[in-house]
Amino acid sequence: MEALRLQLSDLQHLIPELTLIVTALLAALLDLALPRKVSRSFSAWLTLLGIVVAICFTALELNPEEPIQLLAQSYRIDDFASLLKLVILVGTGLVVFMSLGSAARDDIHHVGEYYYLFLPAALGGMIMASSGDLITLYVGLELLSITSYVLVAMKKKSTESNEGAFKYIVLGGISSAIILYGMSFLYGISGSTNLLAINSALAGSIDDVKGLVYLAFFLLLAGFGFKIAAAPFHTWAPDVYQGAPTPVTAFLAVVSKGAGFAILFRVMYWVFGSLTLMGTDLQKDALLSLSVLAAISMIAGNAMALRQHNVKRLLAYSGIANAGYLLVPIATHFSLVHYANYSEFLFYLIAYLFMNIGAFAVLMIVQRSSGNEELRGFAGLYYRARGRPQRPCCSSFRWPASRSRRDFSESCSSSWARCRRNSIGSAR
Amino acid sequence: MLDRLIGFLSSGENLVFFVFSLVAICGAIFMISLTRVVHMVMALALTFLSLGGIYITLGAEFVGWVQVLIYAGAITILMIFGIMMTRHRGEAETEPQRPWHNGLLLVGAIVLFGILFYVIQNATITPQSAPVDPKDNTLQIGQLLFNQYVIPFEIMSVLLTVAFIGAIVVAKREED
Amino acid sequence: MSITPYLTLAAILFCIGLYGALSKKNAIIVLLSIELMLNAVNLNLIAFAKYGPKPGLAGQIFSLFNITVAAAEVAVGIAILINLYRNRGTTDVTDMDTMKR
Repeated sequence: MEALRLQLSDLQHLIPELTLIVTALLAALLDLALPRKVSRSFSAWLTLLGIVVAICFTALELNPEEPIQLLAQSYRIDDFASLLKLVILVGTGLVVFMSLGSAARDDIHHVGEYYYLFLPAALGGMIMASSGDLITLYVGLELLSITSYVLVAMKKKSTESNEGAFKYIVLGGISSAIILYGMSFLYGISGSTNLLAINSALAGSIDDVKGLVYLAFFLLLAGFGFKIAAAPFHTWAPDVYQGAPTPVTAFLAVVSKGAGFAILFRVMYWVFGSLTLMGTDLQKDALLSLSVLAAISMIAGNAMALRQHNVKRLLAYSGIANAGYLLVPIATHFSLVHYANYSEFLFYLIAYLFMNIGAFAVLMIVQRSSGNEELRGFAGLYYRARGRPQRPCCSSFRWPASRSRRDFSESCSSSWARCRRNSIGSAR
Repeated sequence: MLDRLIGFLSSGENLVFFVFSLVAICGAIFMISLTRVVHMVMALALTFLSLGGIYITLGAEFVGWVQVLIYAGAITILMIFGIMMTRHRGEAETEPQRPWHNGLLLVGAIVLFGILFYVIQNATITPQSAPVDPKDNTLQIGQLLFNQYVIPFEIMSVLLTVAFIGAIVVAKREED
Repeated sequence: MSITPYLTLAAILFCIGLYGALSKKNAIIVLLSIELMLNAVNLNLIAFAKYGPKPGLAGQIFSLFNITVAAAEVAVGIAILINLYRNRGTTDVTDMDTMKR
């Protein structure tokens, strides 16, 4: 037990996380102490400052000589985690930046809390990205989820916001319970909450508990499907996206989804997909079910987006389709001929981040000038907005989107081809 | 069949488990079928209490008492506060307006239970070592929480702070 | 005594909780049903901590974390519900349909 103690020197690896906690506490205390007359915009700047400092510290941790692990692999700082943390932090920073000054217009009463609650949410995402233990994973997930429930409910006078928040907390709670049920079976099979220990238990003889392994896998898949809003577990997304304040919607679409994928990638790769299980039936079935989920998401998301009139709902369905695209690199085989899954995944995630935040920023500008969130608000934009900043903004978000999607679909199709070749080869 | 049941019940631990699990299932079913909201909450409190009893028989005294304090105490009281602060017109749940929806859900839940039951019955879990001595596990839990599990423990404190600020901000009445 | 009865009891409670969470009209009962599902998980964890392949305390500690998270979640849930009631005057889940199309 002595070896498993957190030393003072280990804290230097946790500096990005600690920065966020300290900033959030400072903002909360200042918010309480200062008189009501003082404008609360300092909270936004303090939040941004904390995020920028955390980005710097995370960037310093990139490319370590060997992955750092704390407390028996329960917390890992490797490049997988650090890059995802950068994505999460940049996404949160952009969301805070675009909500500067919009809080008053959005009818949000508690502006100070509204800004600094983004910090613990980002913290939850960072914990999810770098944990290697079921308990740490779950606590990070719930920190992100509970903060998001509060953020969605911030437009207190709006019925849509209230309803969205309630739907989100009910469906989020059910999905957490399903994830936990799956995790409890994983613990029961292996007797450990550590992902690597679970993996080595699965690589041993599992004939006695084969049913339980599959049960745990499908429960986890369903629960994570809720969290990343993949069809057929997507029903909460349109309502919640429509009800939430627009910057929070952007946060849910980018940061929550990215963190959900981080946890999915970690669990699927470390527990079900890693090299120790190579070629077993379990791994084949797991990857097949992930591909089926990806296909359903792409088809359902794109098809149902066609009949939407509200831009936020439209973007919600776009997010569902994108969840399908993001699942592809997780679902393809990880083998000696094809091992770039993580870079493919990260590449598309970064493109998705800028594309979506750009889309939501444009929506906010159009919403302000036309007064509603319907698609018809975009009609006649060319005449209304000649020479105004909207046009360059619009085109700049469309251009990288279309381009990166084309690049990605090429890399996707090539990995599908490899995947098929592999399976044909093994069938012979 | 009957002999096996009697044999099962003659052991003390089994008898306690049988009684507690019967109470737990009854509480859960009453929660589904009663009509007044307060009664439903009370029925579920009974389930929480008997689950606490089962934890104690499983050698988890500390978790058992935490269960009694948090679930049977705090969460039930919080729910009753929630009921008092939101008026329930007519108090009773009216006839379900969505018989198809509920019927399909019932079938789905039974099918899910069937799958779970089949899988659980077919699995054999063999302990690789003898059960640990439950004596003094509160001390050991404390030591583990502050050593091996200190990161999630600290994150939990952030989570509780967030929930606390969030609940106040969301539930507060606006003066304007 | 083996572990099967405990796992079966947990499965029963989980299914009842899932059915209640998706079928009940009263929002408070929906939140309570989710708590029932989480309790089923805790029972699973504690049973595995005693009769699982490696008996130990990890399962008990996991369930302690679950209980704490559940309490925080319920507090936020009730707060959202109170605010919703203040604006809409109802706690009926079937009335929450302003965004249906």
